[in-house]
Amino acid sequence: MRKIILVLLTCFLCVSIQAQNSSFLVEAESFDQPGGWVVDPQFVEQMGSPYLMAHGMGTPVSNAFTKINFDQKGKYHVWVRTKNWAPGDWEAPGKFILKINGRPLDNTLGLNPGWGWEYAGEVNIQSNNIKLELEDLTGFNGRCDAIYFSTVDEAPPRNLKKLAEWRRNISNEASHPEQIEEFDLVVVGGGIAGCASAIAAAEQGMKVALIHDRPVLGGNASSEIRVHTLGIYGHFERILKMLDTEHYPNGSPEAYQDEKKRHQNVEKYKNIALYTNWRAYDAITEGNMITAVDARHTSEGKRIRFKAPRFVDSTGDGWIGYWAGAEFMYGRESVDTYGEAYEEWGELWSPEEADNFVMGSSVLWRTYQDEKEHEFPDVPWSNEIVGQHAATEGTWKWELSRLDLHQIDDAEEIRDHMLKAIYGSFYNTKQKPGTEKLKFEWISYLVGKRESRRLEGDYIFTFNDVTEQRKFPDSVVMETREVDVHYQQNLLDESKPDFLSEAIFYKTPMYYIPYRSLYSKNIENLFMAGRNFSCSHIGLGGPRVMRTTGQMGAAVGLAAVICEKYGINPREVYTDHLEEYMGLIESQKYLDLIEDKK
Amino acid sequence: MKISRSILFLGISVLTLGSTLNFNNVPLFFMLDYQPNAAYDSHPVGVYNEEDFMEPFEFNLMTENNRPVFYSSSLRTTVCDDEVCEIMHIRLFWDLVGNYIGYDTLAGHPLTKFDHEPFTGEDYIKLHQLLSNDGSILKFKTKDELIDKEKIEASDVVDGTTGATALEIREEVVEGALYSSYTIWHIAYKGNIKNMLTSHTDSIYNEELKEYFLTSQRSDYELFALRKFTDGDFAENRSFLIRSLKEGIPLLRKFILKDMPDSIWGEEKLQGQICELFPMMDVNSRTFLLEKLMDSQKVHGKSLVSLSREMTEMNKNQLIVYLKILNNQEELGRQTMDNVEKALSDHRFQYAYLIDEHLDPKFGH
Repeated sequence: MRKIILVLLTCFLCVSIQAQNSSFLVEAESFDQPGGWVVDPQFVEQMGSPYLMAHGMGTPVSNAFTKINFDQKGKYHVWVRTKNWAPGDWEAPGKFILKINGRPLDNTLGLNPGWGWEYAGEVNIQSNNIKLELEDLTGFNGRCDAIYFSTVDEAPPRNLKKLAEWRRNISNEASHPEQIEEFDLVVVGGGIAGCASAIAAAEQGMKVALIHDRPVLGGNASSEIRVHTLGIYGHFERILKMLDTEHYPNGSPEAYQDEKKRHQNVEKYKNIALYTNWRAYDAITEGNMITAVDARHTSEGKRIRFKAPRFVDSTGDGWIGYWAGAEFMYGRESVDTYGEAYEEWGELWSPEEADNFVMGSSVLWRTYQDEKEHEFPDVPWSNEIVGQHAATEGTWKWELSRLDLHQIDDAEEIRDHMLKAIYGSFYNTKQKPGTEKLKFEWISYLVGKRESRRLEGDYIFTFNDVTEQRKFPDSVVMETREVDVHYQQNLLDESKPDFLSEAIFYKTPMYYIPYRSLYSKNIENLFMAGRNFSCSHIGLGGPRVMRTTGQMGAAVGLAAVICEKYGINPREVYTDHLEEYMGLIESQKYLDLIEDKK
Repeated sequence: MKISRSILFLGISVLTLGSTLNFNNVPLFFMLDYQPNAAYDSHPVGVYNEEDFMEPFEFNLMTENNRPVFYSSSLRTTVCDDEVCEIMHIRLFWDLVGNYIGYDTLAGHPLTKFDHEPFTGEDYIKLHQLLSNDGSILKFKTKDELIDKEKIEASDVVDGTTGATALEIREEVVEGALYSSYTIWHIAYKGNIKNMLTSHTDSIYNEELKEYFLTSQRSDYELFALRKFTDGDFAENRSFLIRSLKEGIPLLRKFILKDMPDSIWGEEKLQGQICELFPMMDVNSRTFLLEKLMDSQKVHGKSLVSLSREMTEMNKNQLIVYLKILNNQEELGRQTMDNVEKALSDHRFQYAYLIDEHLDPKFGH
């Protein structure tokens, strides 16, 4: 790995010297040794790149290192792309410095609001091989996207569009990936739905690519987010038991055990090519068909074009559909759009006029009593959000939705808001007697989303399908889990913190989801499985939990098999081959053993 | 819903009295002003029944001098675990829009636990605290989930809250009265009952009740009254609108802004007054106000000036909406432009760069 990065960086250098006259860019996420810094690729579409973050929970993390080769000695100006994530009349929480061969540059970094280039200082490079080092000063989520060296005193552009173009130029990147891989089915998103989809298709002999932008599988159920799976197994108990979790409290480290199980099971399938740490960034289309999905490694920067006759969008945010031009929905429909009233809950359940007040995102966290005492610093940048609220853990109620925040476009702000809420609530707890030994055990730095884009299928699943327990000829998913829609507590009581939610439960007998909600209505070879399936805002309230989304995944994986067999698109499975498809699903119940495809 | 001081006092009196339940007709717990000497008249308003009820619940509207005050139901219900059922007698109270406001015992029927031990004073208080919590964990549980059956030991009492009861549930319910707590909470928060009571209030709603609701300082009453406002009501109750936008709950603010007729919203003075309240509003109401202005045919100069003073308090997307509103204007007044320039040059303002990016160059900033 290290070798590859060195080569890559050398290439950057060679290319950039030609293009920019002794200027080059080092992407922070490609550092040889990230130390205690973590790679955060969640917000690439909003701020332009994965970045390194010092997620130290209040304790400075160990330094990140990398070595780079300079062909040309001399004086360089150095800029760092970073941001002050909590600006105000206090010291910036995420401060860090850049060292070159062990010597710090002049300026402390992480001081200015918004993603932009901060001037780190000037450095006189006198040797070819130098060591770059990021030193975290706070432990409070300092972040570094890239480091730019130039003999010319001119910072790269701040504007996101201009920056993207500038980045393409300086890296001399081709317009599309040169490496091309071909599969029978490409599944994007390694949450429970994506994994189930890959397994179901692979078991029938298909060659599947499973692309996931994290190192571990499971999405919201992974050890990185730690939400337990809920719902029933439906037709797919065997497959879903390979992937789901026990019913431990949300946030529990027991998630690791289930994650290990999940990986062992997915990796058993020789015909699943697992691409962890690869983030899709585009869908290539011809007419209404996707021909390929392009993805980039989250730290190494290399790219692959994934070609297949069919694709599954299990990204959660519906990115593949979005890039391909699939019709999609976002926000809460008006109560009259589908007639989804829940009388006693009125506006909190479904609004009179459509709005964007969707269910929010959570960031879970835990503390523990250590054997020794621990200080925790003042966090004045959290006061405005937290007030006097004190807590020692974050449950599902730690959720943020706001009318002015988009769950995709503003996801970084949502995550950062939750971090402020967590640090501030913990600080308040630490002021109480008896908390001297209390310490953070874990804080997720990933946004655990409930709802964002929903791709539109031939059928839009709504609350009425639940209340009427409507059965379909293509009922492929079944569920008994309550329809559970959240609202922010401060809508009814302004004194409540804005990061806490409340749930409305609609208890129900069995309800069903038709296959027609699991493929795009206008992109002909696109399936969707997971929370981005075709449903209304209220329709998502029940089946957004992960055994249900896993059922969707498995159903879609098997539909892809029928598509492959006849060379048809997903819609034709419903119109022309439904009996065979439903028979294939039914047969899943009678398969007792995991067939080892090795 | 907060417990008032008077209720706490009542709770304490229960403690000191132990299991003696002589309260001179004053309910044990009651979160409206209860007048002990008032004569409350009782009017039957309907019954509610479900298949597994032992008998229908009868509901009464309680009035004082013909003015509706609250709803009451003296009910008998079965409390069952897997094997045994007991009968529980209790009187529950709801306000005029169906929110739980208190409970009382019925003569000769003090509350008991499943082992027939009487409730202690603390148990009565605990039950009220539970019933006052509309977000109780009981909401999320089916009866089957209350006890982990694998952990039941022979020593556990049937309705016990020890051992097999999950800690999170145990903390909320009355000790030794798990199923009673569960049963009563689900009656107090039964949506169909709330709907029935609210519908009845709707059927008797009149000018007098409107006045009572508008001055009640109870958010749900104010909201109920507002949702029934005619255009005339909006015109006649400007002070209520301003006060509520200033002090009301966010949901009330939203509906005021949403329902206000254009003829009123278009008034320069009132629109300006409302925009002046921007800093006193919660973040979602601020967004809603900006979006309403964005969709408005006429945005007055005074409104723009008021909001321009608050630019540095706006969130990123709020600021972008405000700048779009400015872009929609032919020209901007001196005060507004001064405040825009001030925000632009404020080094502490994290979104100052957005002004450059989004404000129309026609304003020459």
